[in-house]
Amino acid sequence: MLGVVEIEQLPVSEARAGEAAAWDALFRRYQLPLYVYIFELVRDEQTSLDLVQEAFINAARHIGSLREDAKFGSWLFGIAHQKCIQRWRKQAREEMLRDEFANAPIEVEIAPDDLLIREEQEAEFMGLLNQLPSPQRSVLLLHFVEEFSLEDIAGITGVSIGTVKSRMHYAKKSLRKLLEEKS
Amino acid sequence: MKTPREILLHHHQHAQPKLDAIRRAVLATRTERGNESISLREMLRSLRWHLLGMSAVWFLVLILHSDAGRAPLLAATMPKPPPPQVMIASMREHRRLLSEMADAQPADRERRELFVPKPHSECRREFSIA
Repeated sequence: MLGVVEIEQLPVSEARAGEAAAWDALFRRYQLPLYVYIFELVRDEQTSLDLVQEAFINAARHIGSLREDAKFGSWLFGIAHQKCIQRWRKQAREEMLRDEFANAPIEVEIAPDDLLIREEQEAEFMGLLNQLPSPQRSVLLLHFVEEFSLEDIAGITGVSIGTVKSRMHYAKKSLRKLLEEKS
Repeated sequence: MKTPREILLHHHQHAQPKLDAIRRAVLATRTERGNESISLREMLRSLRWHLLGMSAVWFLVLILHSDAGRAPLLAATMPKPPPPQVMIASMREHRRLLSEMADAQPADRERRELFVPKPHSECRREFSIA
């Protein structure tokens, strides 16, 4: 069973020193979550695999720019997020970011398992996730997949924490509503 | 009941073999680049004597250049020759001292004046007589 992300000791300093085993461990740790995040945004398998590869190559090339070893995960997802945006721009399919809720003063206390889904709802959940607007889907995925903090998500997506809170709030609300309607 | 994370990761589990292949490819690229840097190091190592020689030549050029730059400085620090009047006075003084010294040894002077070299024929004769 795939467990919840825990505080873990990653061999980032060893990777900085160029140890192949350390890079292997880091890539192994993040390859699936990164793929999930990218796939749920771009909705294309081959593009997602290409972007994972590009993100790994960029990470290995620019590890020197990572300031805190503990932030490796959010840094890697930030690279992947930028890759997704570049791809969207390239394909002229970028959606206009809908920030209509950006300035809404919302305080949300979120926990990664505050949204539990029944087994029979799993397929519906995946479909409903795809119905959300890209900005909301992005913050929700980062929260679900890696349990990043609001601050980290803001850093990855390049928006303010207020915007992240707003998007998270409305994304969860929409998802619950859709799930209730389906059930 | 499952968390969204569990559902998402499980849903995309089938991509794992492809992701493994990507991971291996990226790691192999990194290793190749590492080998390239090693070969560059080896090349530099093979050129070390040439580099050393060139460094020595440049060092020599640098030293010569700095010496050339220092020469006018040394000339400037050397004492200037005394003026001609002083030199003439000094020479006169030397000549006077020499003449005084010469006057102080009359025996030698007389001996030198008395000595008159004789023709070789006379010398031989004296010798033959003896």
